[in-house]
Amino acid sequence: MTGHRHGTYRFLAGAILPALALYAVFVLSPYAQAFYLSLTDWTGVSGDVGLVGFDNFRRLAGDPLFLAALRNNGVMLVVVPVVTIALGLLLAALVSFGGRRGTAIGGARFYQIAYFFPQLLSLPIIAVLWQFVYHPNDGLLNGLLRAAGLGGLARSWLGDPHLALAAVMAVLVWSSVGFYMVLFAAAMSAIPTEIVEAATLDGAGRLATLWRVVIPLLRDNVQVAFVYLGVLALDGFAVVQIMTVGPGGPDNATEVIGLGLYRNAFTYGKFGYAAAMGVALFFLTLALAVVALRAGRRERVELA
Amino acid sequence: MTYQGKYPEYLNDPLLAMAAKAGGADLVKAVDNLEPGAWKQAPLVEAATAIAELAGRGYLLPGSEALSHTEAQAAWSQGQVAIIPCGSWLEAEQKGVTPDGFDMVMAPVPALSTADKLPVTALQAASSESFIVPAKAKNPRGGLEFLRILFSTTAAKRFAELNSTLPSVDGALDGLTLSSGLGSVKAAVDAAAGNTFTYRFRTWYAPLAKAVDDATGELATRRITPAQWSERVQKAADAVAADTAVTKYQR
Repeated sequence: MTGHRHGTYRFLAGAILPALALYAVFVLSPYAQAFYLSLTDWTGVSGDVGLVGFDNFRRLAGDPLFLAALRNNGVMLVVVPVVTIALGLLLAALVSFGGRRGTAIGGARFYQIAYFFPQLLSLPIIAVLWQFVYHPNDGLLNGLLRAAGLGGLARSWLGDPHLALAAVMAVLVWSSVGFYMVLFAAAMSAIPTEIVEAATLDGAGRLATLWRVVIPLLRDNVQVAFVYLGVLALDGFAVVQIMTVGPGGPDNATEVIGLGLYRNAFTYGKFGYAAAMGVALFFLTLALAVVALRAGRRERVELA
Repeated sequence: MTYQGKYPEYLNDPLLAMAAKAGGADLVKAVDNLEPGAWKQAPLVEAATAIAELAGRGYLLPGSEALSHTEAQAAWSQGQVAIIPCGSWLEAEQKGVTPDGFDMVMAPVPALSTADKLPVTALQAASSESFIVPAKAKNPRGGLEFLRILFSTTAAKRFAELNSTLPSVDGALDGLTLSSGLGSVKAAVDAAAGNTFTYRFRTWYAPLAKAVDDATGELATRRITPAQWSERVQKAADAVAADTAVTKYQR
């Protein structure tokens, strides 16, 4: 008997250890290095590394660009998850219950696939495409507005500090909403039809059914979506770097933490300072995940 | 005219060149040496005013502030605008999209006034690439030898032929048949006759360069005044000067 057990352990260890080793080399050790570098003045190319204690973190607190980044990431953190989840839930509900008597609408599969498309493109490609869309003179957006006789609404979307961050957030929402629609639609299809029917028989309208019955049953999915979208909103680097004026502008209107990190490391040669930004971002992301997962903790409803 | 609004540093060049021509070498030195009040020197404010006037008088293509360098340069190649600020690499960069008979030429930045310290033919001239041989490299002499080959007259001549771009080696263009753009660049260099200048703060103090870029972007959209422009940049320069962690250079 014991021999059999030993064989099992050996097999389990053999299966787990390579993965653990890879994780240690490619995930844990970079983290450890980043924490160490954040306490140094390393330039990224020099062999000399001097320890400076918490100097980099003290500098962060007084760096106007980092504070602008915190503010912009903060706005994104509030807007992007809420808008994406609201749109995702709405689209999923329309597809799942939008047909007659609360059934799925015709062509539901088509809509799911069509809305999912942006998920298949990498973020840099999406950013390049949207840069074309936002082009002030030849762009699709201003072109459509002008064609519709709304030329007065045409704007220099990325060139105006009051609109640029919204334009960036719109791209993030557009690129994610299809994924969450599919996720929510899948979760909705797991809700037994009797529950929805019972609500309808009790006289609940469609909106009431969605708001009071369906969405509460999707609590876990929404919570996870909040964490993922929150992490996305704390990043935003690729879209900002490719699309915006400066990048990060105009006049820091779209500065994000990741961009400041990149600039300090690769343009200014301040790897130590950049690592401090990375460490700050790490703790922000961690705090977000903990808060989001704790805030949503409630008793579970067992379906079926 | 238009400019590469997404990267406002393109518009800095005409601004800073106008100021340098008006104020001469002393102005450039004061800026690079982070002297107090360097960015408040009258020629800099006047040059900023000239850029703001381009916008104010409607000479800039609407939407320029959001155009990338390729988008702005495409608008110029398509004939939507007559003038674009750029370096002498422009002809090579636009090769595929320049219509036949376009025959681009470069012109020096205009003088701010007749009282300018440098002649109107003076040019801002700097090499656009940096080459480094690390002192502690395994074979530093080999590295230096490579640079010697790279900057030989033969290599520079071939570089000019292949890229229609001005090489940094004197006399490398002699005997070559030059395209319209490169020919005008050579003529301008000859006319400058040694009256060339270049700012160093961009490579010495990258955060200051970013502050100038951001301020010039705001200036060209008239969201700030020329006075605010010089105020902002001076503040950034003072911050760099006061930062003990930044290695300082002098010229």
